[in-house]
Amino acid sequence: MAEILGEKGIVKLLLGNEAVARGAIEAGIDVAAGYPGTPSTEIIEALIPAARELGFYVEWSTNEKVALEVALGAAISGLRGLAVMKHVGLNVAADTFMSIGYTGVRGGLVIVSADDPNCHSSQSEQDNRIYGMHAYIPVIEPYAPQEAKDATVYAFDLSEKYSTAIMLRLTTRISHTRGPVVFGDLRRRRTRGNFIKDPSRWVLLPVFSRKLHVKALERISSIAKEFSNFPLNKIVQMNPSDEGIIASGVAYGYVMDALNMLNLRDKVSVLKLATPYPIPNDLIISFLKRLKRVLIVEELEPVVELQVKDLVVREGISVEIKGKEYVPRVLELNYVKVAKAIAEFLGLQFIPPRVEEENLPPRPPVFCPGCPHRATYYIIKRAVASEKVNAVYLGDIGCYTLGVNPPFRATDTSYCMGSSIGLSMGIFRATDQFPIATIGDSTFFHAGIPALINSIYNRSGILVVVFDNLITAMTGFQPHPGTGVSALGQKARTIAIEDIAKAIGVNFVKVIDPYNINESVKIMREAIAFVLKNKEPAVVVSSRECALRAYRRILKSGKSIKRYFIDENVCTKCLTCINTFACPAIMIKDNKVVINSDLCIGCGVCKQVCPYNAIKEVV
Amino acid sequence: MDLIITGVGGQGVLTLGTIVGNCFLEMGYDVRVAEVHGLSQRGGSVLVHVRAGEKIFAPTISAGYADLLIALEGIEGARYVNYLKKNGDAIINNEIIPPPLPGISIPSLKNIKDVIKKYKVTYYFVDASSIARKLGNIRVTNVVMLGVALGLKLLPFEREQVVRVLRTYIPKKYLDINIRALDAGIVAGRDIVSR
Ligand SMILES: Cc1ncc(C[n+]2csc(CCOP(=O)(O)OP(=O)(O)O)c2C)c(N)n1
Repeated sequence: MAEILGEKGIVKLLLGNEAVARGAIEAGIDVAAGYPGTPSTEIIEALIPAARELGFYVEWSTNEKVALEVALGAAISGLRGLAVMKHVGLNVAADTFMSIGYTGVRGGLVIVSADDPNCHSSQSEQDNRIYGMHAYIPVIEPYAPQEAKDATVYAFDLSEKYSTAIMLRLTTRISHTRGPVVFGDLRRRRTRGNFIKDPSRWVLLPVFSRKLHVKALERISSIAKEFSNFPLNKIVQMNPSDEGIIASGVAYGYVMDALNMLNLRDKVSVLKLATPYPIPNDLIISFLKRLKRVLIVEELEPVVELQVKDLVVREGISVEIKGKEYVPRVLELNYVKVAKAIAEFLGLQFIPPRVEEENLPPRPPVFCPGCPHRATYYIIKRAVASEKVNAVYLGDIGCYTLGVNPPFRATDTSYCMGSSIGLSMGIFRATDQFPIATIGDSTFFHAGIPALINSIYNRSGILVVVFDNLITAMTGFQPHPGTGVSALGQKARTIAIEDIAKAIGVNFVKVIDPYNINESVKIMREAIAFVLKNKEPAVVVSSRECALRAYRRILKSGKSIKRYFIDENVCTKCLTCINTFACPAIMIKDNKVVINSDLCIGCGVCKQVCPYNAIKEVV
Repeated sequence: MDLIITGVGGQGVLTLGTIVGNCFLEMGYDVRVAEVHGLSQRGGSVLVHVRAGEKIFAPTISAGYADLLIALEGIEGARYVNYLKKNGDAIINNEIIPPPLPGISIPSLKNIKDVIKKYKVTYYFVDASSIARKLGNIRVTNVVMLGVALGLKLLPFEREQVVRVLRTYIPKKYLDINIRALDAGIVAGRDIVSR
C-alpha cells in the first residue's frame, strides 16, 4: 500500500515531502504535475501509488513550466491542482508563474517550491520566497513534516477562498527530514471541472492586465489580514523582557533549540511565522508593540526582515529590528549558528564546542561502476585527441556533470538545465575552439530542443553529444518522454532523440553504444570531422541504459552478471585503466591492480580500455 | 538522544536511519531523521541525523553535540567523529571503502583509529562487514551495526521491537537475513561488553 495512505489518526514517520503528498490527498487533489529535482522529487513519487488507488491524476511533465501549466489548467477549471518543482525549476516556470499572480485561479492551485539552502544538490541557494513577492503569490513555509502536511491542506483552502495560487515553500531540511505525521481525513475529490470562459480574467491582454494588477494588490492585502489568524502563525511565548525573536519556517526549530541551549526560554519572546509573504501585519504589530528590540531569524535572504522594517517605518513603531547583522545570509542554519546570533544580539557569551576538520580524502560522488556516461566521456576524449581539436566542453546538469572530475575533465561549464547547446553556439561565434555540448536525455527533452533548432536555423558548427541512459537518473530514475512509460506506469509512446534531431534538420545524426568503444570512437571522430568541414551541427546520441537500473533488472531476473579479472601475468601496471577510465571497481591492492567483485557489474568496457589485454572474462 | 549515522552511498545508511527513527517512534518519542538525497548517493559520503526526545524542534544536530555515532565505513567515521560531544560513543565498522579518485592516498584502519583516539569519546571498532559477508550479503552491514548498538546498550531498543520495525521496512525476501544480521550484531556487541 502506498506509504501515504491510511486511516485518520494513524501516525507515520514521513519525509516532509511525503507529508505534503498526504496533505494533498487530504485536500482532495485532482491533478498533480511535476518535474523531478532534489529536494522536491518524493512528493510526486509518493503521490503515484496513491493516485492508482484513489483515481486522481499524476504526471511527470517534460519540464516545470509545462507542469505548472498542467496544474493551472485544472485549477482554472475549478479543480485542485498541485505543481511540484525544485527552486531552480521555478525559474523555468517563472513566465507562467508571474502571469498567475495576475489572473489568480478559480479552483485551488498550490505550487511547491523546494529550495536548497546549502546547495546540497543544486547550482544555487536562491530563495524563492522572493518570487512569491515578485508575483503577488502568497508563500507558506512549514517548519517540520507535520506542519508541512497541515500547511498543504490550509494552502488549498486559502487558494480557493481568495482565488489565488499559493506557494508552499519547502527547504531540504523540511523535504528530506522524517517526522511523525498524524493522518487526517481524506476529502472527497470533485469529479470533473468546467472551464468558464471569461477573457477579462484569463486573457492577459494589456487592457485586462492593467485591471488585474490592481486586483492582485488588493488580494494580497486581504491575505495579509487573514494571515494574522493563520493557525501556523503564532506568538509562542511572551516574556517580560524587552527582547523578542521572529522566526520563519525551519528557523523556528533552530531558534527554540538555541533558546533551550542558552537557557533563555523564559526570557525572550518568540513569534513563529509560517507566512513569510505577505507578513501578517496585525499580528506582527501587536508583537512589536510590546518589545524594544527584535531579532528576525530566517534562512538565506532577509525576506521577512525587509517587510517588517517597512512595516515599522510605516506604522511608526519604536522598536529596533535586527536580522542579517547576526544571522548568516548564506548556507543553511543550525542551532549553533542561531545560538551564536541570539547571543550576539543580546550581548551574551556563547562559546560552542570547538570543531576540528580532519584531514581525510574527500569522497565526492562518482560515476557508478558500469555507468555508460564514463564510457561516453572516454570515447569523446579519445576522439578529440585523435582529431586534434581544441575542444571546449559545454556541460549541462545531470549525473554526467561528474565528467568535470579527473580523469576526464570534460565539463568546462555547467549553468542550468539545457544551457549546454546554447552556450556552445556562443563559443562557436566567439572563438576558434571546438564547442562540444554534452547533455543528458531528460535534460534534452526539458530544455535542449529549442537550442538545437537554433543551431540549424542559425547554422552553428557544434557537436552535440546526448548522454542517453533512457531515464532521469540523477534524481532517482523518473521516466521521461524517451523512456516509454508514464509516471503512473502506463505504456507511453517513446520519442527518440535521434528522430527529433533528424526532424529538426540535423544532417549528421548517429546513435552509438558506449559499451562498444572502438566503433563509437570511430563515429565520434566522423562527427567532429563533419562539424569542422561543414560548420553545421552534428548530433551523436550515446545510448545505453543506466547501469544501476540494468544491474537491478539483472539481479531481479535471477540471471548472473559477467565477471572479469585482471591477469597479473599480463598486467604491466601501466595504470591506463585507472588513469584514463577510473572505474571504482578497479583498484590497487597489495601492489596489484585488481577488480573488486563487490562493485563490478560486468559491463566489460575496461577490457576494451586495457592496452595489453590483461582484463579477461571469468569463464 | 542525538545520533549520527554515516557511511558511503549504497551502504544502506538511509534505511538504517528510517529503522532507528521508527523504533524511537514506537517508544512514543518525537523524532526527526534528517537525510540527504540526490547526487550524494552516487558513492558519495552520506550523513543522517536522528533526533529523538520529548519534543524535537530542529531537524539537524550541530557538530559537537551528538550522543552516538554509527559509522558503516571507517573514513566516514573519522570524518564525522567531530559531531560527537565530549564523552559520546562511536561505533565504527572495520571497513575502508577507498574513494575512487586517481592518485589519492588512502588512510589505513590504523590512521582512522588514530584520528578517533584524539577525541574524548568511547569508541568501538567492529567487524560488521565481515559478519555480513559471512551471513551471505554485504548489504546487511547496516543492520549488523544496529545490532551491535543494541548489544552495547547504546540504543534503548528491545530486539523484538526492532524485528517488528524490520518487518515493515524490509522486503519479505530479505527479512530473514536481516533478522540474523541483527542477532549477529547483538552478539558481537555483547562480546565487546563482556571483554
Ligand atoms: C530546472 C531544473 N529542474 C530540475 C533540476 C534537477 N535535475 C538535476 S539533473 C536532472 C536530470 C538529469 O537527467 P538526465 O539529463 O537524463 O541525466 P542523467 O542524470 O540521467 O545522467 C534534474 C532533473 C535542475 N537542476 N534544474
